[in-house]
Amino acid sequence: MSNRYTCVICHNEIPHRIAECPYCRNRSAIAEGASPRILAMVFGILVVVFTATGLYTRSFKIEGRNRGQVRFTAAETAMAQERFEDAIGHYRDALLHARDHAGYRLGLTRALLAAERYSEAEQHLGALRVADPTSGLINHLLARQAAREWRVEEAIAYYRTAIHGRWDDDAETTRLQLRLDFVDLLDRTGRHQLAGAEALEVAQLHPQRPEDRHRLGNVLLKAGLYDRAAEVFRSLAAASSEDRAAVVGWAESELRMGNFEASLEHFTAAEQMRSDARTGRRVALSRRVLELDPSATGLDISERLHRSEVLAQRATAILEACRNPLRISPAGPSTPLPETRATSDSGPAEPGTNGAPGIGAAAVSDNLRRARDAWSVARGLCGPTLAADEPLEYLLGGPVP
Amino acid sequence: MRALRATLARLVAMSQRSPVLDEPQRFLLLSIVIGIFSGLVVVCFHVSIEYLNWNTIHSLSLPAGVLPIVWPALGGLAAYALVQFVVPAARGTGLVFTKAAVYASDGYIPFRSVLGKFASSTLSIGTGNPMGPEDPALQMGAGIASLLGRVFHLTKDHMRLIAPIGAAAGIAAAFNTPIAAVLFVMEEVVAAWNAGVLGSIVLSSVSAVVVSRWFLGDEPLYRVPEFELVGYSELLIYAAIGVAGGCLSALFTRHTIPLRSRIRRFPARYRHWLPALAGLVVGVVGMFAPETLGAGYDVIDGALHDRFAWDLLLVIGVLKLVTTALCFSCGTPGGLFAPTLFVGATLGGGLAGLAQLFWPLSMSSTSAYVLVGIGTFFGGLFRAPMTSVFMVVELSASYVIILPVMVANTVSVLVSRRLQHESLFALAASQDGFDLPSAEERRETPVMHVEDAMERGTDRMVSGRTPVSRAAEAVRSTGSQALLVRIRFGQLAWVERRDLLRAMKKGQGDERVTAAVRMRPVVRIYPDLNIDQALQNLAVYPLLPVASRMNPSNIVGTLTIDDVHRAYGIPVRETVSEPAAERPAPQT
Repeated sequence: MSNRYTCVICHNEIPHRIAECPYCRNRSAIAEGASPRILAMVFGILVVVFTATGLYTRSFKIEGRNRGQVRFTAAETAMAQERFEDAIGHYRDALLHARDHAGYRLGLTRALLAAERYSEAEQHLGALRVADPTSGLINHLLARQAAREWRVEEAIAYYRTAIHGRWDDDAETTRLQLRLDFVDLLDRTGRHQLAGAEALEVAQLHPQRPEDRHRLGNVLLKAGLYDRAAEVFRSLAAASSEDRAAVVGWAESELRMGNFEASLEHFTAAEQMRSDARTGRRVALSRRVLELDPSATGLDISERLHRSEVLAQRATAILEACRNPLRISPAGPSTPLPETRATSDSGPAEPGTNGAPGIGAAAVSDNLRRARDAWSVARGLCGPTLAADEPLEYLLGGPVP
Repeated sequence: MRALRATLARLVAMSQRSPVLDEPQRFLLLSIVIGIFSGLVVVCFHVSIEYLNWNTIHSLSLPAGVLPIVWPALGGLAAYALVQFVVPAARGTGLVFTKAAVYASDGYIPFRSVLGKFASSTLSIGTGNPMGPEDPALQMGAGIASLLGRVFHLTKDHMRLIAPIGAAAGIAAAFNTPIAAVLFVMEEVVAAWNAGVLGSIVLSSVSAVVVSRWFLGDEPLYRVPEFELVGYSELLIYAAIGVAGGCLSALFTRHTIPLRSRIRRFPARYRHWLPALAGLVVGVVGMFAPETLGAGYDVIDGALHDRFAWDLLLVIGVLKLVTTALCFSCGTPGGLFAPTLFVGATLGGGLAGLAQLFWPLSMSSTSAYVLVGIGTFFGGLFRAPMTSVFMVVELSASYVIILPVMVANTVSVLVSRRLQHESLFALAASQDGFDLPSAEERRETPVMHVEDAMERGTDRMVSGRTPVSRAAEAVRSTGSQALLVRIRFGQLAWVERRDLLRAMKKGQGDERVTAAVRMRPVVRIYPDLNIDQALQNLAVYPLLPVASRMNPSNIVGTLTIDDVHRAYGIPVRETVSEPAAERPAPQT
């Protein structure tokens, strides 16, 4: 079959393939009449090259995956041996072979966190979160990073997503741990109400593992839910009589609730299990509180009155010290002292029938009220700089925050 | 029925007579085909470099020791030998050869140069030499385009345009940034914003990127962190990075070109071994700073994520600069695109780290400066400010960055031009024996407009009621060969001097010019037209009225060929001779 030629400019048919069109005198403008044939040829070559490139890149990707896996294994080994810098290098190499591999990137992030290279780790975490926004682990790591940098609102948001996010292994236990971490964070950052609410939610989950219950008890204690904390620690102590930490927690909860006798009893029990300085101090404190407590059981009315007077005097002295730490009378108006003053000198106590409170009981409650008022004013004035008087703190309204 | 049969017969005859596609259609189709072919070849190129890299400097099975040091030397030597003795057509920089194809060889690029570039650059970059794959990809794309143009028998004009189309496809596939590729080719190769070729370049570039992403995935070269401009005072630091980038690029050009020239004068028996020597230096440097090996994309990525301390960034930047200059001068195949980005990134990050020690105000993170710094050295060296700006914007996918990038890159280009007038590639082309127009030269060539040459006022125009005697007097006094005549309703015509004089001889001096002399139609031109457009009309009309764009009936001046000559400083013969033959009247 002979080819026909056509000028692409004037479209005239040309008998032979010549350098110049005889009609329009255009050079380099001769097209073969069999253009479809050229197109088909080009298309055929395209298909061949496309297929060859596909096969070539496929083998490249397989080889890349294998190399990435080798590097990843080396990285995991280095991580296990706590050679974090080596691990980072290997993870990076692994990522070069599979840049979108979330496992490699997560490994690198963990290694970076372990090596305390937080800034870079966070960038990888950001990329991971974009790829998988519901991952519990990634959100948890981001939450920890945000908490570390005191970006509290961000941390709270990440914690919430992590708690409700996707966990592949042992989701319930992990979520519980996260919740406990979260309550801890809220408490540390002064969000006590939120911490309390979260802690209550955690308590309703009824964790079974003793270590979780220990954490829960401590969290409840921190959140000010003393009765719940006491309940958790009591159950732990009942389950294992050797659980000293549970007994200490229980004693602490009782102390915070004002059950000083129970607190002394439990602290003493813990001291007997194993003595340490802290527990010793708590035993002494419980004793001193009990010695000052006008509402302790088995006291007669005069002893109650005496103790209440002592409390009132000490509270008033603290208030005075708080108002005028240099003992110079203030020039400006001062906060008025609680006005009435009932002492054992103002009149004999009149015991009621069967030891029931009569006038003496009224004086006791009056003294206690004065003491509480003075303590409250002092707390308001001095706040954290209030002179330390631990027994008073526990007797008159809880420890200074 | 007979009519239908006749129509069908005509259609069959037409399809047999004419080719399937006409030239513009074939050109557009070709742009896509070029993009696909270039994309495929660049994908294979990329994969080959990686394969070689895995089996040499990043081998998992070969023992560590001396071998990693000698790989760049072996690769450099093999690549050089290939282009020197087997495929000489693949020598030199791709950008220069592509421009040469556009300006000198009617778009012809031998296909063996594509094969040679592929093999030699794979050998050189794959063994760790600090060169980039973009420039070879550009030349490969242009070579493929040229081959396809020849296969499709394009006209000479289209053949000249086909090389830039392939170049854009090659660079887009290699760097995965279609916009930057289009801008680079328009700015650096074509150096003119020709709308026709722009469409084809965009088509090929997009096709190439689609193919590249199809096979290699759509992950960008760098994972760019979110950019934030903390305060406008930071622009001062960005400007300082621009100054540093400009100075460094000028310094690079000033030292590399003389070094390259000196090396070329070496006796051949020594010169042929120099790429191996350069590779050895690269290997030794790479032993202490492995970041300097290869194209270095992963290092830029690391710098963008605060992986390196600022002092380390400056050190590896300088080492990369030195080893790249050495390899480029010795003739190791490969491009300068990636190394310039590397140096810019390390410069930006390093200077930002330094600034953080002394800057009294709050600053963005180092990664922001790395990102902005990427384009500064590139812009200064390639003198392509638009490409450098849009490349970074495209990489970061953030418009917030455009202000710092524009500040840094513009400052860099200005400083570089101030310190070093000619760009590296213009000088390299000259060393390679080409005298090609540089993009800057083309941009800066002043364009003459009609308003620069026209004679203002209406001395060469009379009313249609003017007597012939006065018109003849006017034509004598202006020394013009023709005179414009305003007929009515703003209509214009022109009369020949000869006709006026003939009418005078006939004694028609008192008659109106419109009655006595033949009126000839005329076209208006405007003051803002290029002189070459006006010249096309002056080939037909001896005198052209220049009208105002605001009111085309208002004639603000006139233009003759003598005016154009005067504007260009060509001496004009003032004496007017009577024409021997009558000028043919143009068809209306």
